[in-house]
Amino acid sequence: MLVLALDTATPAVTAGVVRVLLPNELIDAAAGGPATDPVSLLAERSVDDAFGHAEHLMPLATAAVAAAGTSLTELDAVVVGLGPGPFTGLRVGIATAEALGDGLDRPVYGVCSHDALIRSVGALPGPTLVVTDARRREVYVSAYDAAGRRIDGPRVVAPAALPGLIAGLPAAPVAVAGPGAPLAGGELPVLSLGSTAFGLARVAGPELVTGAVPGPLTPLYLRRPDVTVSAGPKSVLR
Amino acid sequence: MNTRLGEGAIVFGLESSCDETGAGLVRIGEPVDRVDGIDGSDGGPAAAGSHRLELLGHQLASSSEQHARFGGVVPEIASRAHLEELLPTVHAAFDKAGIRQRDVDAIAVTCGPGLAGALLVGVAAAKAYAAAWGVPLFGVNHLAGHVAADTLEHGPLPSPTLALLVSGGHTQLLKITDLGRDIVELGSTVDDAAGEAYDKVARLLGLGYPGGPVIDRLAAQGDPAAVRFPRGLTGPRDRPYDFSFSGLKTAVARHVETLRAGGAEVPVEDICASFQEAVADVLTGKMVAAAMANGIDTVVIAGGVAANGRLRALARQRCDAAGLRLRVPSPGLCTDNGAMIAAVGAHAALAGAAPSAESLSANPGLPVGTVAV
Ligand SMILES: [Zn+2]
Repeated sequence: MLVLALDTATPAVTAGVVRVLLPNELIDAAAGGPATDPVSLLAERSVDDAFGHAEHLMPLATAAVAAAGTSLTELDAVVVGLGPGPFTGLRVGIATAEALGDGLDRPVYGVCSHDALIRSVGALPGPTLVVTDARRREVYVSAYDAAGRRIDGPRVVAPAALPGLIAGLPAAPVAVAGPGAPLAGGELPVLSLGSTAFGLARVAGPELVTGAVPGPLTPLYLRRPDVTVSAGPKSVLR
Repeated sequence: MNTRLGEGAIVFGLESSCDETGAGLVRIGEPVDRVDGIDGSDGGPAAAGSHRLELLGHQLASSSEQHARFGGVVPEIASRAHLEELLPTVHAAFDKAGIRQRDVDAIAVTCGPGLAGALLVGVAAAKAYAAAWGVPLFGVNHLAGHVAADTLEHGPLPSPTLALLVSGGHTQLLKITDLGRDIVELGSTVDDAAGEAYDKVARLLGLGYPGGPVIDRLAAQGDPAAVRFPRGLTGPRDRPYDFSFSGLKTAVARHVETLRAGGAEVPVEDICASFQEAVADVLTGKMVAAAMANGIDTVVIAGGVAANGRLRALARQRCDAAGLRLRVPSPGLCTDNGAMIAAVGAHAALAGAAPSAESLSANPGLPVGTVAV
């Protein structure tokens, strides 16, 4: 099956086309040969622009679909990163995925963007943190065990709170990944990331191949809207 | 991709510039050379390429109640609500119109002016629908949309038409030669929008948010001549088509505070009626003057405040006296909605607008003269 994977949770606006082999296709592909990865990246397009998600996403999706030698109508499903991420950009990805799925009559699966990033890395050296920029001098952070399972988060914290958070984890992380890794300011080695689209499809893989009914596409905002209840009218006398 | 739209084409419109999520469907009808005038008389020439438009159906979702306790629209709350309401609103609009998604020939979406985060939800979704359906997308101006709402009920506008656009965010006088491509601003508010003045006065009277409907209701039981509140920018040396409501709001606040300081009861109905009279007086006075000075005989009042009872009544009275034809959309089409966006998209496409690029984004400060982006 062909899957369009979109993510707008970080400044890297990303669209990719991924092939996900169904169980029967996997058996055919593996017949007589070495084990085949059920998920393969056909094409990916990405632009770094923290304030240009809306501008870039559809052109990137169109370009990725063309580079994969397919068309939107040939797609079988859409996968989208639900964040955490800065609100406006995050919504662009989710609104795009929802409308594409609705307009093409295809299912849309939402996954945690941190999960997609960790699954793009490959084999982990041990427990690992994923850190992305939450702006306002805070970071989004999730903790994973050596097998890539999320054991904490995602949360939004100040970098100064990270040592305390790490101390509370069942196993100390040995590495950090994600575009916000430098903001974490620690001594841990930084792992390089693979394809986000590939990671997204990996995370959604079980749902994709079983044709599960998608869950709601609820953004992982992690923060309440900024609002102040007004204190009443100011006096105009005086 | 064939981007020429004509009779029979169906346009889908999406609106998300403030706190209403709107989706609407409009069908392009027959071409029109001349428009209807008063009592079946000839109303003058329509802009070249004008067509009748048929409203097939539209649906609205509002986050207004979530903003009430903050006394105004909270952008992030509005943006979150747009994303939640997007698909249910779109589906309901198609159901009401009895149209399938594959019947759509073009999409129009509000790309400005408005709240950036709110606009982007609609723009992102509209671009995705356009790609999925393989149809052209027109990013259009929200303000032109308010005027276009009237063409869904009363047919194409004569060329030229004068429009008074009054809402929570805007107060403008526009000269419209072709709603699809030629709109010129004659004047606008220099401070608060008319709707904003209603909200502020309602707040200082403790009437809640939004202020328009409640003030309109209470004003009906009050004396509009009880207090003579100031009419902003109506002096001989003031710019004739600009508005100012900040001084009016301050005058109301001063009046109320003075009464309260003296221990007197505040006659809320009288103050509402007197405030509303000042607003309607200035709006309709400048509207009629602008029409007469520009030789225009048809005026349209559009935007959320166009639903105001006193504004409609006074405008009717003054237009009748001046021999002007007055057009006002029914209240359900005065507030933000998707059908008006589909309508302006249709007018822009008929006037020869090129479809928007795939890189279309929101423009929170889109000037009213730019009908399609
Ligand atoms: Zn509006």
